[in-house]
Amino acid sequence: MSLMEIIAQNLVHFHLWTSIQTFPKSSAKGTPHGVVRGVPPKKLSETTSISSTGETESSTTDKPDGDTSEEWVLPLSISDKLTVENIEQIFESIRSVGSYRPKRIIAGLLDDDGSVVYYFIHDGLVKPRS
Amino acid sequence: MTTTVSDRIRLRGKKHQMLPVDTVDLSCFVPHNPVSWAVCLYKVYAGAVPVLPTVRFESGNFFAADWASINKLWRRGFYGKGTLSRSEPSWFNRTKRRLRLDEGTELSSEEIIAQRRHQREEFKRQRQELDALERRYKLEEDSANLARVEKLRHALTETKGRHARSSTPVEEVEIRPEDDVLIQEGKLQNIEVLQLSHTETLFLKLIGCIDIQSEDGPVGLKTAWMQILGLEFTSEDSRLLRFIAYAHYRSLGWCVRSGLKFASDFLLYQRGPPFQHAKYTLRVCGVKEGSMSWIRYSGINRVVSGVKKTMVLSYVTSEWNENEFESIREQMECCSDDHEFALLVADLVSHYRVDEVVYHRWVANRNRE
Repeated sequence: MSLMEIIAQNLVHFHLWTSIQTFPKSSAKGTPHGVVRGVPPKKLSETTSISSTGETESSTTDKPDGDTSEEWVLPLSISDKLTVENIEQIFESIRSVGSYRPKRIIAGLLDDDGSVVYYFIHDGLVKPRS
Repeated sequence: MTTTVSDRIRLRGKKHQMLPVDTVDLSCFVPHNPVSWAVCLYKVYAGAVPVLPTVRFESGNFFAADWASINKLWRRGFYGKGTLSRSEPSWFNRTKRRLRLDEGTELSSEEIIAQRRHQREEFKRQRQELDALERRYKLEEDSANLARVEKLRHALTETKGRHARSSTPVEEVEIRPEDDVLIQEGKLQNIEVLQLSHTETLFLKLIGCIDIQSEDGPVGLKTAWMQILGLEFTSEDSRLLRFIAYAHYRSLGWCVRSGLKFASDFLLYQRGPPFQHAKYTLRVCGVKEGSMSWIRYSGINRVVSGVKKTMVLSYVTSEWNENEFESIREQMECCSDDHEFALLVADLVSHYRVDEVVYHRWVANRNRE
C-alpha cells in the first residue's frame, strides 16, 4: 500500500469517513504523496478565517456545491519537510484537482509504527474560537 | 482480542512478561520429590520448541497479521500498534459491534472514549441552554426564575460524569458501502494488522524473539538492520541513538512506545498502556549534535506537562576513538552470519551510556517544598 492508501484506509476504517477520493501525486502536482478528499462522520470544527482583504468569511462559503463538511487530507511521512512555499503549491494543486481553493487542509502524518497524527493547516489567519 | 476490564484484573494478578517468548512454569519442582523431577523434565521437553511470533515485512513495514503472533506480541510486553486503533488492535471487535454483527464483547478503550466525548458534549449543550436562560432572566430582573436556574445548574454539575455507560444513544446501524465490501458471507474480514515500529523490530530481532518473513523468504538480523539503519551510519546517527535508548529502557523492564503525539521520541510505561498512563516522555539527545533552543525545550515541556507527564531528556553518549568505531562498522559490513552480527551489535551498543535529565518548569511561588 502506498502512503496515500494507508492514510485513506485509516480515514475510512478508523475515523469512519465516507466518500473518500484519492488523487495521486501525478495528478495533484506539488504534493509529496498525493491528496485525499473525504467527508468526516461529524462535521469538524468550523473556523472563521480572515481573508487578505481584512473581511471575515466562513471557511466553507466558497465550496461550490454547498457541501460544508468536505475536507482535504494531505498524506505526509514523518521524514517529509514542508516549506511555506510547498504549502502554497499544495493549496493551488488542490484548486486544480478540486476546482476550488479550500480554506484549510489536514496534514496526516504517518509514523513507522503505523500511527497517523492529524493537524489542520489553515490558509491564512483564523479567528480565535469564543 | 481486546484487553477488557476483566482481562486487566486477570493480567494484573499475574507476573507480567515483557517479552513475547514462551516460558515454562516449573513451580511444581520439589528437590526431594523424584516425581516432580519427572514432571519438570517433561514440561521442559514439551516446551522445548519455541514458537516465535511471525512478523511480515512488506513495502518497508513490519507487521504481524495472524492472531497468535498479534496476541503474543501485544500481551507480552505490549509491542506494536493496531493500524486502525489507538494502540491495541481492537478494530475487528469494534467494527463487529458497530455493524451489529456481534454484541457480546466488552467495550474497547476507543468506544469508552467516544461515550465520554458524547457525554461531555451533552453537558456543554445543557450548560449553554442554562447560560442563555440566565441572561434572559437577568435582563428581565426575574429573581425567582434566576434562583431556579442556579439550582438547575447546580444539579447539572452534580450529575456530571455520573451516568457512565447508560447514556449512550442507541443509533440506527448504518452500513456504509465501505463496510459492505468487508463483509463476506455474513462474516467481517479483518483488515487490521499489528505494526511494529522500526526500533521495536530491530530490538526483538536482535534478542531473537521474532521471525521475520518477506516475499523472498526469511529476513535475518543483518537484512533487517540494513533496511532500517543501513550500514553507513555514524557514531552519532540519531536513528542509532534512538535504537540504543529504546533497547536500554526495554532492558530495564520499561514498556517503551512511540511518543510522536507528545513531541517526544518515546513514552515510558511502567507496565503497559492498558494499566496506567505513561508517566514519562523521553527525548533522545546526542551530545555532539547542536542542542535545541530553549524555546523548543519549553514548547515541548508545555505539551508534555499539559498531559501530566514528566519530560525526560535522555542523553546517549559514547567515547569512541574513531578507528574503533569504524572497525566495528566495517566488521558489521563484512559479517555474513546473523549470530556474529548480533554480537557485533551488542559490542557497538556497549560503547554507549545513557543518562537522564528531568526537565521541569519551576515556579518560584508554587514549588516551595
